[in-house]
This record gives sequence, C-alpha cells and structure tokens, in this order.
Amino acid sequence: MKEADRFDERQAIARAKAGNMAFLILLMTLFASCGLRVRLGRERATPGVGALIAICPAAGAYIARCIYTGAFFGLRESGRTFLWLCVAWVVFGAAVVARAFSRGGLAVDGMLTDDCLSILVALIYLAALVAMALKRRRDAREEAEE
Amino acid sequence: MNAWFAGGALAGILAVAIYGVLKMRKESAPRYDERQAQARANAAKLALEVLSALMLVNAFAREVWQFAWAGPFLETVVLLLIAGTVYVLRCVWTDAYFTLREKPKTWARIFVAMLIVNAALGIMVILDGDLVEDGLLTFPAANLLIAAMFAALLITIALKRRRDAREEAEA
Repeated sequence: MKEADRFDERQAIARAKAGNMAFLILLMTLFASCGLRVRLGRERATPGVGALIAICPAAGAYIARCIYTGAFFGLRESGRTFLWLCVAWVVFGAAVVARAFSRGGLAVDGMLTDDCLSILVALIYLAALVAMALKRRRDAREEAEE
Repeated sequence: MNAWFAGGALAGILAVAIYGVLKMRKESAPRYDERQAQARANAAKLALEVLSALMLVNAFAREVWQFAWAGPFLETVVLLLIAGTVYVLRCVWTDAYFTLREKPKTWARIFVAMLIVNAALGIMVILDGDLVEDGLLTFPAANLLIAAMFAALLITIALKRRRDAREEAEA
C-alpha cells in the first residue's frame, strides 16, 4: 500500500520531519563510526554488523518520533500487534544481555558480536514502548483538559 | 592519509554542520516557506533511505567478497556525497533548494567554478596515476565525485528551468 493511502496529510508531514531528524542522526553516527575505525586502525565489528549498528540509532529515533507525533500507525491500524512485538523483542533483548554477560561480554577478540546488534534492536523497541506510553499519557491529559 | 588528517577533516565538516544549524535557529525570519520546508523534509527522508541502503549494500559486499574499495574515510565521504547529492537534487527539483532571498543564477556560477576546479584536480590525479593505491581508491578520487555531483546539480537546475519555462508558456 502506498504511503499516501495509509497516512493522512498531517501524518505525512510528521513522518517527513522524523525522516529529516533521523537523516542528521545517521550522518552523525556515520562520522562517529568512521572516526572510530580510523582511530582504532581496525574494524570494531564485521562490516555487516557494523553498518546495522550505525543505522540503529537513526531508526530508533525515527520510530520513536513517528509514534510520539501519532504518525507511525496508518489510519486503519490499531498498533496492538506492534505493541506485542515490542514487548517480545524487549524480553528477547534482556535474555540476550543475560546470556552475553554469562559468556563474558559482547565482544570476541575485540570485535562486537551479533548479540550487540540484537540488544540494539531491543533498545529500539524499548524506545518505541516508551514513546507509546508517553503519547498515551499526553493524549489522556489533553482529553482531560478539553 | 593519517588519523590526524582524517580527524581534522571530520571535525571541520562537523563544525560547519553545527554552525549551519545554530545560524538557522538564530534567524528570526524563516528562510523557506512552508511548502519548501515540507519538500526539504521529504528530500531528507529520501536521502535517509538511500544512505541506509548504500551503507548496507557496501557492508554486505565487503563482508561477502572480503573486498574493500577504499579506506574508511573515503568510504564515508563517498556514501555521504551520494546521499547528499540525492538530497540536493530532490530539493532543486521540488523548488526547495534556494531560499526566498537567494538568486539561483549566482549560485549556478559558483557551482560551475566548483565543477571546473574539482574536475581539473581529478583529471590531474588520473594523469599522475594516483587514483588507485594497493587496490584502494585514494582520497583525491573524491574530487572526481564532487565534480560529478556538481555536474548533476547543474543539469538538474537546467532541466528544472526548462520545465518551469514550459509550464509558464502553457499557462
């Protein structure tokens, strides 16, 4: 389904603004990642994991901002499935953290492992959950004021 | 290229970006009208998608084929230039690149000068045979890419003017 069919005009504007902010964050993480590689003189993770780790903060910020501005879910979507997905990922992330630290950390031979990526993805979903909670609180307050 | 040079260049780019953001916030009168601001945000969203896709394709190509085409700094600069070009071209095409007070003609002259300087530097690098070292693109290769970026920008400005002229004639 096209974005124009799923979202109204206000949502489309909010999504574009969130995209703008996420683009700036991605530029920053790209620079930071490059600076780290040059400074260390070696990779800190395999290229695929490194790229996904660099994209995670921007993706998280985009999703959280879209949710907070009421522009993440389409006009015909309730968001209930996404809520359960978030809870599942956060639980999975907590399990990965416990397993990683029982094994001795998130890096092997100085290289970040896939576990680190799983935790970052769980953090994105946690940010989404926080944004949903804040949005509900704000909506409830606004309704009470009216 | 040593770490100090790369760090200095990165710090310079970041300083310019931060200065730009601070200057934009300080200005009381809006530089762009509402439609332009919206078009710029849409262009940034497109650039975000392009940059993410490029980063993933580049990373997975490096991982699968165990092949690097440039050092970390040039790699970052190239990805950034491509995403930046997408952003600028989309802004130009949607009439959201120049502010309400700016004259496109003046900027077009600056772009032509930048194109000539960078193309000349790039050709010199090719003639000297310094474009590739140990199978990796060297930093001066960025000049050729910058020249290509300005060429694309000028072509888009020309196409936009032609489209505007045609639409005006039809109206």
